[in-house]
Amino acid sequence: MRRRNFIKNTAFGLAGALYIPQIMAPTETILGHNNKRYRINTRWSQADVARNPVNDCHEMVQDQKGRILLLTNETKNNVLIYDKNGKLLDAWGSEYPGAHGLTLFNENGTDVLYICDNTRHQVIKTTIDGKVLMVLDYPKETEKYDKAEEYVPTETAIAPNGDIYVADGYGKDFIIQYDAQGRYIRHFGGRGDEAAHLLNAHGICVDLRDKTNPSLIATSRQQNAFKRYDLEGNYLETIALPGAWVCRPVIRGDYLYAAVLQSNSRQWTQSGFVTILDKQNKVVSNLAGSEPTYNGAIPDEMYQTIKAFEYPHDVCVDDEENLYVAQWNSGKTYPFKLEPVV
Amino acid sequence: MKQSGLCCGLVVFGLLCAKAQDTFQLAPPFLKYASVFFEKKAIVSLQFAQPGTRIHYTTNGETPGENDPIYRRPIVIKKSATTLKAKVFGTGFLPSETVEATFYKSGLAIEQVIHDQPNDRYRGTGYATLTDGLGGIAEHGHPAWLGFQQDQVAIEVRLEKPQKIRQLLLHVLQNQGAWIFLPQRIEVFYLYQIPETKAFVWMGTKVLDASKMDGRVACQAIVVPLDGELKTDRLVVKIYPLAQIPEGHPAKGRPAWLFLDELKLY
Repeated sequence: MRRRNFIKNTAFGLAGALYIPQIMAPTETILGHNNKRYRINTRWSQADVARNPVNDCHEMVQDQKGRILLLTNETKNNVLIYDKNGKLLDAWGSEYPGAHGLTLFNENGTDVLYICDNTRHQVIKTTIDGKVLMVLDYPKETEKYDKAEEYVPTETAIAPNGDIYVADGYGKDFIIQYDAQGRYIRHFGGRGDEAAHLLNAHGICVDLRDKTNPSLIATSRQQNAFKRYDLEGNYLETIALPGAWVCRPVIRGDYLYAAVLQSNSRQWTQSGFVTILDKQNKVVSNLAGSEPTYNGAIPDEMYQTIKAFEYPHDVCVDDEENLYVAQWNSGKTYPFKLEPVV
Repeated sequence: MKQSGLCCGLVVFGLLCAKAQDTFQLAPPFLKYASVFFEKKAIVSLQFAQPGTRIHYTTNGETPGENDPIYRRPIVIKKSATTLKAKVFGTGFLPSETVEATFYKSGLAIEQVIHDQPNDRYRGTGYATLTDGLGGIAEHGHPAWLGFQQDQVAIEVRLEKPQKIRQLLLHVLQNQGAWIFLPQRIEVFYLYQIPETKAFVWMGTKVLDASKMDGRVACQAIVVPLDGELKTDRLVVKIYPLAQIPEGHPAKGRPAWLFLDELKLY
């Protein structure tokens, strides 16, 4: 549809198009399956690389003004703030060398950010424009850590009551729960052989889709799975996603979105894609990945089919259902935008 | 006219830009098989779950093109040393890289293989790892592999009865990123037996350019030609892994790993 409109809207119209050999005709790349298909735009960011460079693009969120915030471990500007068209509006932050996790929480009407820093071994709460409000150091209270270096937080999730859940995804894989003031409550997860354990607890989110039963979804990336817990850390279920090194779960509407860093069958060869699950935890679409198929309750092994991404690290879904994909270790590339195909 | 030509050029340019932005390469297909070694036939299925794409394949050693057969059902291979190559094509995408695997017949019956102790982390499936007919999965974590990191690996091969042996095939892995290189040298000896005397006598040598840098992760069959007239029931194979990883590699100067999954005689 869009392609036809494009040609129609071009001043030269059909006459111009007739001279274009078939092979040169614009080919729109549509990614995904079923009702979750997208048109990819790899040139969304209008940031000037000389002024506002990025290193790893780790995570993205949208604030209540509709702006898109990107967290990068480039200390010239740890946070880049865009409008939805990719115009850079603002940038801040130079003290987050290990900037990794970015979570936005609406605290009584005010947006606040939680940054996980791998290098500082800390979680930092800031205002939307970067003023530090609180710093959480390594969780001595758990009696699981001897020193800060053992703690490498990758993600936070904030419950409606303000409780903070920190995933120590590159450390000991515990989920540490604090109250809104940063007082330790409990920890759970960690490594081991049981279903409740985690391996590379890279992400976490609060799932409020079931209004009566709020829960937590944590990533167990090396196990190619998500694991669900109640808000007190009791293990509930595993959502197995064979083949997919899923990063953090991102919920919008009835769907769960996740960047897949890489295909398990082709490790460390830029084999990432993006996966989308419905409310029943069924994979409905893989963007640049294999068509989801099932032989039973668990999906067949998934893998990259189109080299549209290298190492996707996070997905942000905006208020118009557009996706923004940030990538790790992918040639310092800026995020891509994906618009839904209706 | 001139202006419209210019405009037309701009349109083409614009479309080319649009194309440049949105044209991606397809990822390679997957080859699925139990082993690259077979008694009578090997059955290979190809996998690529991307609607609108086609897998083209060859078994004649050529890189597949769009005129080569489209994969529809599992491929049966009956001839030893057949290489299957596959590549995905789809409108609006650049074709994938080619993936390949070479399949081998089982060869002479081997009674027993006794080899040096492999590294504890890569012990294969036990004493019969090199003769179990399973091999050819190019993942070093796969249980079919024996992994060694030592100066020399000795293997003794025993046959049920003396036979003429024309070739020895060693199936190895290359994954230089994981420090796994081809061996630099393979020597084969046979048991020379006359009453009162036993000695192992040289039978064949293969020298490889093991320190050549190559980013491919792939299985490789190393064939050592032997004196096909001589009858023997016992061989000793000495394999020399690459002693020092070459310059330009993050592990330069360190000993390379040798990975073996199968040994065949023909």
